[in-house]
Amino acid sequence: MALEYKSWWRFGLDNYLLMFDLYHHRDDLSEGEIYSYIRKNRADDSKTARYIFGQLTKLKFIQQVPGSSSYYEVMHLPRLIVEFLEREYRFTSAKEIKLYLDEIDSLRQDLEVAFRNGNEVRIESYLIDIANNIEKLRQSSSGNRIAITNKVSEVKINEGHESTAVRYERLLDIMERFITPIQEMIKVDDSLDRSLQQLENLLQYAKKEYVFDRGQRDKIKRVALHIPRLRYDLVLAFQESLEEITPLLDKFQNNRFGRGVTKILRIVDKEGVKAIEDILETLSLPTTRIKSERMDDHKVSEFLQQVKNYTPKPPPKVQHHQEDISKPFVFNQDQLIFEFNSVLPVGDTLSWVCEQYEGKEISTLLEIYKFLFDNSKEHFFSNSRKKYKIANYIVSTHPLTIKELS
Amino acid sequence: MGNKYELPYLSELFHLLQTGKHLCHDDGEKYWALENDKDNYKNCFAALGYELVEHVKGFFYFKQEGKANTENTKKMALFIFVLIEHLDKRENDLEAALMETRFSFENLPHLKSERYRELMDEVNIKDESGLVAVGNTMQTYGFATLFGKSSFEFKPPIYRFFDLCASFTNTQEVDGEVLNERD
Repeated sequence: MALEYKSWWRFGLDNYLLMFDLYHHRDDLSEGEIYSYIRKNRADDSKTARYIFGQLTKLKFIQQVPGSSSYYEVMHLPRLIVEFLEREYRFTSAKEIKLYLDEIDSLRQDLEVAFRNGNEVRIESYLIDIANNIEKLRQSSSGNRIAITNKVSEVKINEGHESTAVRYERLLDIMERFITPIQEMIKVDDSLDRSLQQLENLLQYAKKEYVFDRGQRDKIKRVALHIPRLRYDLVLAFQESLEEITPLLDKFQNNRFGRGVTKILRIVDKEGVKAIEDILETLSLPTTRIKSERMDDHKVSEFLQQVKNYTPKPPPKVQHHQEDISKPFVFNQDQLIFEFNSVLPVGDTLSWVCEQYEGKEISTLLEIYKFLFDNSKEHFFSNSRKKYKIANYIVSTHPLTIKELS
Repeated sequence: MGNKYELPYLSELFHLLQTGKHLCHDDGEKYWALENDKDNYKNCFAALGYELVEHVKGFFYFKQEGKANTENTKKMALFIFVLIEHLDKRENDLEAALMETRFSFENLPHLKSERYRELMDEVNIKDESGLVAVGNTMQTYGFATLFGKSSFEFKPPIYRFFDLCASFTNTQEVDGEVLNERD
């Protein structure tokens, strides 16, 4: 039965939302699912769901899946129409644009051959295909801009109450997938520019070749006129998309504590509050009450416990005015050097010191002995040890001979 | 010439700062004493082993390495972070919303969704009185002003927590983490 076009368009118009739902259904449609979509989208209550279902099959909007009597699929024509309508506002990736460009390149090469062979039937058909592809590319680019604008508005309004971090990621994703690659593509001398330039050159050549064939020349001219419009629209769509997204992206980028807080809480969600202790450590907030320092060294602590009740004795009184206070002995270095030089060489330096400074503290005697040793220029120790009795001490050492002082 | 360390409120300021208090213009004369003679205060406190820090948002505090009171800090941090995230999802100007709103404890989001309740549970806050207790702690440190037990407002020192979030964004910028929302 031939399709009744008037009824087909009218039914499609009355039920276009139903068409979208049927188109977007992922798998084959069961009768139950189709009835559910019909009830959801029924605009006119005077039509029963059964009637609408009947019209869907009768007017060939849907057909049974081959080999199955209970499952249906959307037919080719309504599918094409929905795709066309959706292209108006869906994202187009650089990859898709590249596919259109490749197709235009391939058609250009075929057109070139057709021109060379003078095959007018093929020239006409390639020109139509090229024009269609250019138009699809232009619509996709424009749809991309609308989709970006819609998405930016949606992110700005934020009905879903999403955090800045998530919204920032959404915009960044659009930027990286749908704007930046196109920016690369529309650069002068890049793929898009090259493809369109080659096509333009071919059409310019063809216009000259067919200068006397008005019909053919006009067809070529019409296609050629699409190219500058496509170029202009692509650049405009890109610029407008960029202007739409950039201010909001910058705003989110600058909202560092809004974005940071979501990431911190995400860590706490996954790993617990312990996971952010290092981050919080940087705040170094002390306790709000001053406590006495706790003793970490237990030995010191015990010692302090022992001396807790210790009362010191009064210190001895210093008798400043008494003259008989013994002054500490300090040897005169110059005098010592003079006297020692006068008796050089000295075979047993410690014996000499003990004789010269008899009665002095052992510490003083050893200090003088060290001074002489430090200042000796030529000296040696004897092989055998010798014991010296100094006051109540016995000192054992190898006798030191000093021949010369420095 | 007088001793340059004969500074007004010196002992009082030292005690407040040492116990973690952050001083901003709301603290009146004590803040202005610091503000007007900050170098001498800084030198004086440095001699005692303390570093007086002046934040760009106009408040002073002691930087005290290794003296973190982690329990209080954790409670305040989660309390503040949850509130920031909640407002970030709803307000166009987050900073203004945080600094210019008087928050009522009973209307806070912390105990109203499962995810936030779980986060509060991490720091043992289970009811409104727990939230008020955090408000009191924040007031003691100078991060907020309480109005009875019903509401509070943030004070400029709260920027220490905001800075923490911002610095975390900087360090995590290249992670490419996939975020999913759950509220």
